[in-house]
Amino acid sequence: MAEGLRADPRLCTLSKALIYAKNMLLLEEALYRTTPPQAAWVLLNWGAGWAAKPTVVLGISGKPQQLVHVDNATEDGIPLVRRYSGGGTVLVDENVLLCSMILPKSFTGVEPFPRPVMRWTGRLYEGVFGAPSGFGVAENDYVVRMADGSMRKVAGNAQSFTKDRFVHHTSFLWKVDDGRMGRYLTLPQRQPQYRANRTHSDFLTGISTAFPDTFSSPQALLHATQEVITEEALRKGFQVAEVALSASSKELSHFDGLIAQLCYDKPKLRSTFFVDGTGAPLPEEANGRYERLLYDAFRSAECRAFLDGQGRSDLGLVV
Amino acid sequence: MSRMLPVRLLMRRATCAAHRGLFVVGRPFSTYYSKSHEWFKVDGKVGTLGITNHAQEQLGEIVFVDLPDVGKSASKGSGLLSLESVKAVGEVYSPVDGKVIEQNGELSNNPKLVNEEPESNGWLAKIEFQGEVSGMLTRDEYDQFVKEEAA
Repeated sequence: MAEGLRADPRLCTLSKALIYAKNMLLLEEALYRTTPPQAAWVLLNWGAGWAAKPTVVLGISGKPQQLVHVDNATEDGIPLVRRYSGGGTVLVDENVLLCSMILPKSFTGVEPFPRPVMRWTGRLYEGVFGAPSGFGVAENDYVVRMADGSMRKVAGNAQSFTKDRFVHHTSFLWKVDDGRMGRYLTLPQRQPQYRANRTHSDFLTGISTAFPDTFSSPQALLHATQEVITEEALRKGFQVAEVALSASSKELSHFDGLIAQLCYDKPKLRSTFFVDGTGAPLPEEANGRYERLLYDAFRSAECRAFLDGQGRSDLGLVV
Repeated sequence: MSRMLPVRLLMRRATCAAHRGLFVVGRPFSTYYSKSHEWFKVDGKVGTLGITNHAQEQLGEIVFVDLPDVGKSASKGSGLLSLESVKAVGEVYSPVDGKVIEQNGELSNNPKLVNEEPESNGWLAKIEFQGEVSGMLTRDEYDQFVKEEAA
């Protein structure tokens, strides 16, 4: 049996429209910081419903004043979210897919540092896109090589590392709406070399444009990712399982409980917040009332039993 | 012309000096390493914590150091602070139980010092600790560990 193999595995399916970017990131952070380090999680998410609630997501030390057209975001009611990983700024709307992997060191067998993890995940996604597809890795981005030899970015990545486990999460561009992007996001000062100062529209491309015959829909890309990571997990001797979630399911409230645990037991560790134009958490984030209610529910014996089982699972896929 | 002292006399003087040093200072002095790529230079009951050259190379350009406050408790094996590189955040772990008594304020304005001088001026924090340092590696053991991990 491979290291980490346990009984009672679970796989989690989220109803996509319910999970907006900030909630997904907060759930990820809760899984990352509160579940046992040998537990592996993959969250795959896209929501047509996100069109109604686009969100600007900044890296952990991103400064809105430099990275965001704050006035435009405020005028249009676009919230700003700080996430718990490094990296740049993303506009998450219906054109973006989020794929996050929380993996123990033992799953990949590579050193838990940015470059080895980029190479490992790059190979994984090459499997998702199929070969030869033109999909590849350039610095910290996933790219497609165009007919003229240039490389255009199709996805950005960010990571967080502990000694036992890491998170690698990816935002894939399904389509590029550079007008909307340009309205909220500035051209970043820190750019990868291969960008060569190109504008959003010259630098980025959508998967629907670059790989028109590979995936018929965003769901198809998520499904292909799920298949590839499942194969990898089985190959490594991990068990894979699935838990279906809905708005009223026990599992959803249990995950809310994990979020509450992060907010309540480990408030100094928490990094995912709605922030204002200066980057400071919004006042309502400091109000622990909602988290307190969840936390009390979370502490019930039934909830703990479920989570202890969940925590021992080897790979939870959240689709 | 310098006077050449007999070797025995030289050795006795050296021993006396060392003995005087031990008697006056009375502190062990050594650098330890961890599998999570920290170094910890101990001087009595205070240790200076930093990350190794291998770690800074692997992390890439450090853009932000979330320094621990002076007075913060350090708990052996728990995260004490985090470092942010261009795309990643990494935890730095305390090898001892104790308390942060100093942070490297240079890093607030110049986080790249961690890349440039990781094992000297790019130190992160000083910890006053209780008990003994245990479960850490010598330099040779750490170098061997890194070689095996990278293989």
